Amino acid sequence: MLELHDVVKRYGKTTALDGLSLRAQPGVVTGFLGPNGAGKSTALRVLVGLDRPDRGLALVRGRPYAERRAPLHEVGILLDAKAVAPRRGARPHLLALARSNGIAARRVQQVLELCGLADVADRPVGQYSLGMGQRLGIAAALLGDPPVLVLDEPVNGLDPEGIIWIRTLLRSLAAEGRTVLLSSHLMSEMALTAEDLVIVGRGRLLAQTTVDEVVARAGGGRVSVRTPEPDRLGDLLRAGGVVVATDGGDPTRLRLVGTSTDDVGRTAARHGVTLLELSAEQGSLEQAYLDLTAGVTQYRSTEVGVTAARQEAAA
Amino acid sequence: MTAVSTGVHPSVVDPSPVRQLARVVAAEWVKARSLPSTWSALGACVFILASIGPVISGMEQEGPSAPRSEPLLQMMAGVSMAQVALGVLGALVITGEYASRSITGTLAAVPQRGILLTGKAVLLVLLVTPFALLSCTLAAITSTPVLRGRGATLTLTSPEVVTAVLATTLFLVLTALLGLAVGTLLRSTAGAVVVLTGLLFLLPVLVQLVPALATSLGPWLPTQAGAAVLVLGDRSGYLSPAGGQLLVAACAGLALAAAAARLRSSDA
Repeated sequence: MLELHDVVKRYGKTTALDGLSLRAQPGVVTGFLGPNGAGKSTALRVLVGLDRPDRGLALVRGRPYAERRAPLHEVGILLDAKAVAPRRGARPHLLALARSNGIAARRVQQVLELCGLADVADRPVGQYSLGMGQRLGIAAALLGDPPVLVLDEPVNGLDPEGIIWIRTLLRSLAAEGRTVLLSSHLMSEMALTAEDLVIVGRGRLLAQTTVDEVVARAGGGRVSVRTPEPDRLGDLLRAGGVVVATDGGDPTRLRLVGTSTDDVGRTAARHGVTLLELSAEQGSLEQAYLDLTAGVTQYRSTEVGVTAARQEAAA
Repeated sequence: MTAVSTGVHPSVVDPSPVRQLARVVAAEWVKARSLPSTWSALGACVFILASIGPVISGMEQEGPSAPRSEPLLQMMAGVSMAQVALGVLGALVITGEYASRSITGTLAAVPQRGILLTGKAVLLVLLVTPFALLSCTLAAITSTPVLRGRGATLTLTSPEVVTAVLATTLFLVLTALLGLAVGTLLRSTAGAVVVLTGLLFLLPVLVQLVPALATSLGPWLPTQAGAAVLVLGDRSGYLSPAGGQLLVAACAGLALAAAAARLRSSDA
């Protein structure tokens, strides 16, 4: 469980976090989404005590991170995978982190193998590719076998194989009951990895929601239908207040807005209209996400799903 | 997939501050030994002290502006360069982490920043002391015969020589700690090198060129204060032996306190 409560963080005149509240639950991957500069990295830095907030509270499993004396057992962190001394090997890098938190040396070998770095563990990290650096960052995050993971843009620079590897790994870690918070600026990536979503813009919460909800919203009541009687079905639907458009390329196809496949099917059956095809149109996820962040300039905040989260907290 | 995957994650009990400090020292040892720069700085210290001592000890010193003949100062002549090497080593213990940005991972692993800095300081003392002692002992071993050849009555076991070895070792360790403090304050290797070279190496030379400064400011410079214990003859221009070492220790201590304050109050 990760929580930020009304966190304000300013760097000079820049307000990076402007009263941000969010939460990530155990057992699911929570996507932390926002355009570049939205305050994602700042929020994560505050969460793990690297930067001190000007106001507000950041809690990991009910305690401020910076109070812990062996925090790697509680939280695994990937903030900047290439932030490793370039002339040091992966093994001593991980061993130093392990020693500082009383983690057994054999665990270093375990995470090296888990992340596919065992063969290159003694090569200077400066020689690593971006993808290998990212794997080293994941290895460091897993050192303490922590119940909470905080990862900033972990798929950055990974090849397709690496992306699938990370996706599978994170979902299995969440399935074990861990809290996984994963930041990204790509909605499409989140749709494949995350279940819960926290969307931020300009340092504020725009939405605490779920991927399913955004996917549903992306549909937007758009339906596509094919019928041998497009004119007749079009008139019937128009009478019910549906927006109807013909498809230039296919005279049998109608594009409908403001209805559902259920309603179109029932209307057609009632009037004996033959349907050749009936489907809900999947809108673009990126578009739905952009719609959600479009209001950022007005500091609008739509707190979808926050009520549910509060009820859980009360329970 | 991972070692523990029970789905139940009890909170880990925090170690005591002392235990945490011991862990930090162990972690810093892993970091220090896995960087080549650590061993080149320590190697440089040994080489400089062991080789410069006998050369300077054997030099003729003539003319009105010649330095006073001080056998122990000559024996430990390498200190002025070795202290820069060790000061930079001390700085690198933390500026290296700022340069690679690995400081974020370090601070996330050890949120108690006072303990982190203390751990780095303890490791530095444990690491530098044996090498400094070796360097000074070698300087004594290589220089004593040369000095005896020039009429000095010193042997390796003379109380003056033993004191010189121990006091110079202490001075070098304190210099490394001063370097750690400067590095923590500046967060930059280049900045720390400039400040340490200026303070420890250039300033003493420049001050000697201005007679008024040489007598007023000179004794209070760390290098000259540290060397006070090596002076056997005319003590003008030097603090008392104990006073000199105390001044150096106070400098390192104050600088470390300032460094701790900065590390604790600033964002990483």
